[in-house]
Amino acid sequence: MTRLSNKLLLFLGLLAIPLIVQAAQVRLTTSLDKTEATTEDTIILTVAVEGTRSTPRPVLPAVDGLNIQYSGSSSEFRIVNGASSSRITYSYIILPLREGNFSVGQAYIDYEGQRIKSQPVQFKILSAREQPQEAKTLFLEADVSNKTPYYNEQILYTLQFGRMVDVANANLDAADFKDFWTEELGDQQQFKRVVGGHTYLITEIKKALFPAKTGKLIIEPATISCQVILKSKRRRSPFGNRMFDDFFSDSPFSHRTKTKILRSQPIEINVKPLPEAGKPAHFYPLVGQLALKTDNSKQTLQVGDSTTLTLEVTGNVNIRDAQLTAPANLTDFKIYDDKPSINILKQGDTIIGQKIFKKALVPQKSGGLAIPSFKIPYFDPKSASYKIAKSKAIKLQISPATERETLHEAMLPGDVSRKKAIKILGRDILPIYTRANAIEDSRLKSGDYLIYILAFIFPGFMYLTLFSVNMRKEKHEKDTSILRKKNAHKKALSSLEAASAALKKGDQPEFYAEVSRTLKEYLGDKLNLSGAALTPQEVEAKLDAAGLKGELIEQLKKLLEQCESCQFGSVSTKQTECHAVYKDTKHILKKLEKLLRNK
Amino acid sequence: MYLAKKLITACLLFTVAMLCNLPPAVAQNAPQLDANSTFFKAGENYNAGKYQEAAKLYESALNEKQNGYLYYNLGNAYFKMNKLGLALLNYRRAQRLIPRFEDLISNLQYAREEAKDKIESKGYTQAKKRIFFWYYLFNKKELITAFLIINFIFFFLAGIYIYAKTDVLKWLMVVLAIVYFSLGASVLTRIYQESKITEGVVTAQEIAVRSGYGTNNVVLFKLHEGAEFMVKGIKADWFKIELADGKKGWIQNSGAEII
Repeated sequence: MTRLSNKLLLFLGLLAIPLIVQAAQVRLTTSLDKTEATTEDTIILTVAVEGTRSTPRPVLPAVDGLNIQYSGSSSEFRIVNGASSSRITYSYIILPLREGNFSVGQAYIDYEGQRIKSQPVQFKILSAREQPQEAKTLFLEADVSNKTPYYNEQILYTLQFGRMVDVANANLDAADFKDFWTEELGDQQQFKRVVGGHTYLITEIKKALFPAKTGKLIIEPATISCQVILKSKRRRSPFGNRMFDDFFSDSPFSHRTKTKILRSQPIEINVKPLPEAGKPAHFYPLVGQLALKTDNSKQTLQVGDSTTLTLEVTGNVNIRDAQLTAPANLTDFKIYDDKPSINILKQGDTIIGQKIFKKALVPQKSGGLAIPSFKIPYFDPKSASYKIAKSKAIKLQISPATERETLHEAMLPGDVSRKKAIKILGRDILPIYTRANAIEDSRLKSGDYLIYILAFIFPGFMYLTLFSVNMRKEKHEKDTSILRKKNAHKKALSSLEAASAALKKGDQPEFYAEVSRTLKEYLGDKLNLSGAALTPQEVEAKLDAAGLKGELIEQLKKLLEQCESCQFGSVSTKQTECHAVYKDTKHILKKLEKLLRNK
Repeated sequence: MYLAKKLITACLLFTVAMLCNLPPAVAQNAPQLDANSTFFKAGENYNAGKYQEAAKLYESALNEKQNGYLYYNLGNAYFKMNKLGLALLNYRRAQRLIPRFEDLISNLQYAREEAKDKIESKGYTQAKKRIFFWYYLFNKKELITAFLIINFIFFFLAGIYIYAKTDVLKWLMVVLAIVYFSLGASVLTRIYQESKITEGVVTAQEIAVRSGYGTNNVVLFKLHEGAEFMVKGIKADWFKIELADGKKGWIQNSGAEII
């Protein structure tokens, strides 16, 4: 027995050893996949818990400038030569928000009353442009052709995304050109370029910008997020065949991806205002080079005929701003403006705008008339001076009209093409509310709630009342017994009047017959019976069955017997006795009505 | 008839009893002058660029009276003080009372655009707003009034229907019954929503959203000033929140305010 218990203790002791060892050996280690990265990279932080399989997730202190996101865990349990080991690995993705030296502090877990901590890990985040050692595999660069343009002068914005590696899911968040008018400069281009001995595939986006404000303007950085496809190192295929080698190395299963975020640098532009000196009157801010061409559809025409004058304003200016006013001395013609049309043309890296004005001219007199030259002022940034583009004057030969014609002015449709989308130059909230009703208390008071409750209940209540009244009415109308019962007393009183009339005539048998019939019919109506054939004994029995007993019933029985004997037995009574019978009948009816109301 | 008479008598007695419970009118008018002067003084301060003083005065006016325009003005003052979270909070409070005020709609939209966190709402949120448009178009008082008007018309027509059973009246009542129940449900939902803590705004510059309540939990993500959220639970000093895009977590209540 002793030997057996000793063996059992030894066995339990052996079982407990790994548990003791396990508690003692719980360790927390932290590691990074790299210790130096740029603001474009992500770092994988791994926190491994060794020596236990049941532990809460380690707690990581927050670090300013870093966004740490939990990405999952994995666990591992091994038994090697009888020795077991377990390990749970928690992974976190670190997204750097700025450059600098960082330390992810001690991660910890509370295990069996003990706080187990890991060692802090340090790493360095560099600016994307400081990327050391080897050449960058990706870059995003933005530039402008001129950093000191004049107000409304065309400048070229170029954004280049270069890469030496394959990328997927590239997503461009373009810069916000909030202080510029913009025009697209064709579709994005893709080409190869050698930079520093490395061949990059470059995607280029170009835009023409026209500053809409003067002073220091900033073009915010553009951002591209993409996934870089990392090919795994070539391994020999399990089939030992080159063909399968290629298959394995190129298959999507052999690729890993890495998220990259690229930002272009912000660009500061100093926009010069247009000089006030020499600024022509009615100057529209056209900055660049400008040319004005004219063409006329007819050289000879009659008075009243029309000719179309075409004026073509072309230049590298913000052409939508171009306006053309007729010369003051164009008085011999009636002028009808057509809608100008706008064409945006691409010439190399420059946007050339073309605005075509068409005017129908109708000569008002005959002879040799001239269309004077049209003028349009602009500012030339190269010479930093105001210039005027002029069209050539045109001579026309006008012959007298064969038949005088009356011209009717017609309304032309609105000049739509002159209009352009409103450019928001600034934003602010709308002002405060100043009317006095802002001080009225809009809270619901207890009284309001009571009124609401009443207003809610009252219509329903009224409806139910109306409904129940109507139901009762319909029920009464349908049920004749109720109606008989209801009208019995009224009917009896009216029959009694007939008895009274018979008495006045001195017709005693008729009087008694009427009284007898009145009483019997009253009881018949009240008890829903055929009253006329009732005998005094039957009346007593029926009233007894209806729960009525006592002196009144006896009185009624006697009265009915008296009426029958006077009616059929040729017994003559005194007039006074008849009156007493009449009174008694009324009295009995009144009492019966009270007693039978709720029967 | 006897029963109807009794019911009408009871109803009249109930009405009189309820009217007797109304608070006296004098008590309502007493603080009018103070709130008036505070309001106009706040407006002067705002126009003079003294936004902090204006905000204080609007806050004190709101202690006496509750009004959507006061919340709107307070929101404006906070916006000018670059306190986007508090501005959004007060715009949202104003929205409950004056949902159709165009300046408020515009400023609220602007403030939301200024918020750092872009939270995509789930697709059905917009559809819900279109289908139940009246719920978002009217404040609580207006919803209750509309409901009571429909309640009156419905029972009035039902009364007529007792005596004149026509098809036109029947279909009109069916339509009214649908409106009646929709409005009734809207009123109950609004009363519930306004009596419970359901929504909030982040007022701190940045706040960590954790996996549980307590600072030892993992930071899931961070929210910035002006981010709006739904409150799904409260535990001590912590709110359990859910964003419009479905993200969930816990935040400390010191960095957020309830609408």
